[in-house]
Amino acid sequence: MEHTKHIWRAAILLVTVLVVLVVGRHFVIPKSFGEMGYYRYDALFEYMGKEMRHGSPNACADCHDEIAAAKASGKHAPVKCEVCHDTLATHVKDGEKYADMRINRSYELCAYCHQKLVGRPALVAQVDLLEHLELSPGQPIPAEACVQCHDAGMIHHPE
Amino acid sequence: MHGQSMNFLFPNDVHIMWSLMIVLYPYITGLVAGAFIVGSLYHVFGRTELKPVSRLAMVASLSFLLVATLPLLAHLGHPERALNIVITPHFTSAMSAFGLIYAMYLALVVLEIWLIFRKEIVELAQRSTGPARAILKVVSLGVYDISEKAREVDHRVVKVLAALGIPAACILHGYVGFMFGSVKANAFWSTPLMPIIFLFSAVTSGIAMIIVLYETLTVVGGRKISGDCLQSLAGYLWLFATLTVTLEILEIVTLSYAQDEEWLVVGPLIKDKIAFSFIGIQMVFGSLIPFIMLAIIVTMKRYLTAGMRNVMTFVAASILLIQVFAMRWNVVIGGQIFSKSGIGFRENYVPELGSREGVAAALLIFIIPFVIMSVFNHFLPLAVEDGDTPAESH
Amino acid sequence: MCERKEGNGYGRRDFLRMAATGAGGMALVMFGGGQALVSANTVKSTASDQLGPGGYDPTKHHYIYLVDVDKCIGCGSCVRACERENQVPRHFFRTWIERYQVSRSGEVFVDSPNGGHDGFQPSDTGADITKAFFVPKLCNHCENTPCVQLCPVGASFVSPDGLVLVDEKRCIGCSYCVQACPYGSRFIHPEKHVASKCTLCYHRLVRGETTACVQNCPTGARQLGDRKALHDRVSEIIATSKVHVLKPELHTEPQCQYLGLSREVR
Repeated sequence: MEHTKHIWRAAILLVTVLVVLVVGRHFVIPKSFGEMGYYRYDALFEYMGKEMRHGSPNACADCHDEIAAAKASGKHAPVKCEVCHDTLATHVKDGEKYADMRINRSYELCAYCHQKLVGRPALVAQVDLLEHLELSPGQPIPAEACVQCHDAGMIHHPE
Repeated sequence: MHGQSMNFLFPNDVHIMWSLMIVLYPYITGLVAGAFIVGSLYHVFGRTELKPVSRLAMVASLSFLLVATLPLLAHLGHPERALNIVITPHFTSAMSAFGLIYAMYLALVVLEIWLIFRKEIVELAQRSTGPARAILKVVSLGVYDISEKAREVDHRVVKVLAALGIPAACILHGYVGFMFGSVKANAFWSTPLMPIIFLFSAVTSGIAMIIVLYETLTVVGGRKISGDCLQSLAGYLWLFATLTVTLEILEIVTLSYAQDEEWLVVGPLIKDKIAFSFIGIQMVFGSLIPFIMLAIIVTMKRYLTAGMRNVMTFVAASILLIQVFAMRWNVVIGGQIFSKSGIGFRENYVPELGSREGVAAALLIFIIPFVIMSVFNHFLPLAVEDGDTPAESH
Repeated sequence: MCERKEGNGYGRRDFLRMAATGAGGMALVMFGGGQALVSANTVKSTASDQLGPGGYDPTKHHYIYLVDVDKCIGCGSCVRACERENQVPRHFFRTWIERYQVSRSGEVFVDSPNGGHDGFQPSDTGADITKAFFVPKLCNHCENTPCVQLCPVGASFVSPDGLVLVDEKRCIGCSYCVQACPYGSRFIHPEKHVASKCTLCYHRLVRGETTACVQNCPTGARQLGDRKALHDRVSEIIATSKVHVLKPELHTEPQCQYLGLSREVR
């Protein structure tokens, strides 16, 4: 065919670009991509490698066996230590204590479970905070209102 | 308290994830597809009256195509990883097709424009000296054959490419619509009509943009507007605008009539939350007014002077450009005003001015195609003089 | 597992045959067979030999989750535990609690102040509330999940042990998956700018521990099970009790199921 030289050149250029792209793409696909599905399988192992913040359920008993034993037979037995305190990771590193554990004495902490609410199942003891403290609406609740009477001993030990 | 509680959003659902940039993106791709269709009407279907806009349409399509990725890059959390979409495209996702469709379309449009302007490129190369000559030689792929026979080959190839371009344009914009239509979690987006509505409104916006560009370019260039060309464009615009608006209304009517759960959010959404942009801008101002104006231009042309027709067409096209933008806005933003809880609405979205996804950035992106067009026009004139034959199809 | 590509994927020979058909074939491979292309060239016979800490084998587990609505007291311990365990950014949630209050006339009042992170306060709806309950929510780890289906780059995936996870190094932050999740379980991390969501504390599971939310739930409203384990308690409950999932009409096949779910729950 005459006078089609430019068409052929354009076609060759296009095919070259296409081949370069298709072949080039192979060199940038991540290593473990497609091993177990259409994703980078190594991503799964990156998730596995993350540090735990909360300890095992019984980790606290390793050092605090007395409190743990007492608590286990008390009303707060189903409540894990870290619920009211903080994660083990804020307290222990490589099996050694490196910082004090947080002790939360605020009434808000108790209210999370024990404030009387419409719809809250009767699985837990509930009080209307204001009524219980004999406060009128709008009056501020003292920061440590609950633990003034219900101290740590009562919380950790069988009543 | 009473009303407040009834308005419940999922706690993670308080943010508008897809902002102004994602409104702009389908708007720009719509202009790409629509402008291309105008070009194809001439090159494939032999609408010779459209010859004056045949070059303009193709170059406008390319210019918008070149910036189509920018709104996405401005939106992505990790724009530096954007190429992942072509490195490992996940083909069960409508979005993953972007790279392929974009590349295919770009190749098609560039090739077609190259063939249309080849004569001018070669002539320019022969006139030039120094580095410009070298660059133009590369652009012409080293072939200076612009004989009658070579031009004849060009014309035939252009016709084939333009024909291929029609399904490509439909795929390009159909896929954008499908991106929304395939989100089954969203009551407002999840409809099979979505790709079709996007496609028709794309063609509408494309024709409207070509009308605005053509009239502006011609008046600024001190030339005469072709009555046949504009009359024909107005007719097509009328047809496609009517189809678009019919589909848009049908979608809402169907949703409302079925009284499905979706209507619980979509009803209050369009009647209250986006009433201004949907009913006011998209339907009344954007659809009804240009519909009447175009109907007058098409059916009563003997009563209109050329000047009146030109002005009315220009105004109707400009309003339709706003209508299509409003439609994109209402779909993208409207679809995110309600929470997936199905019983809660967010605060209305107001785009920021200066942020990465803000108004200023959007305007900047939208101006670039016009800059590209004027630079192009400087070297290779877009206006087609009578007697000059750009890739004539017959 | 259907994710395994060695047996049922495209082989190298198939790929070569496709490529041999020339540029058209190339385009076809790129367009239709992208997945095949990748799997054909990157599958290693050692794929499943890779193990986690303590010899954890992802193919030997399939996690399921059970929420007992009647046991949830709305204390928010799970939300706070999740935040601490996974450094969840403020005002975003991998898990949260919703409170439903339904009046005699059928009005539904729903709230989830700060996702239940700070507990719930008594609320005066002004209506005659006849039933009320708390509903913990989290990623449902759907088997037929729209979020993975819609991820354009293969950053969201379903792991061999049934978890829906995000590859934070490949996610482009387009937030398509956030749009696709019918449950509002995903969000874009405000600092990492990638999709973020519940991982079922995968780093804990592989060490034989349970999730932070399950471990810290004082009433046992949240339970984790393993479908592939022998005598799994949660599997047994699901097999023998009247359970429900959220938005069943969407056919996402949630792996998180609910006991005592009421129709008002969104």
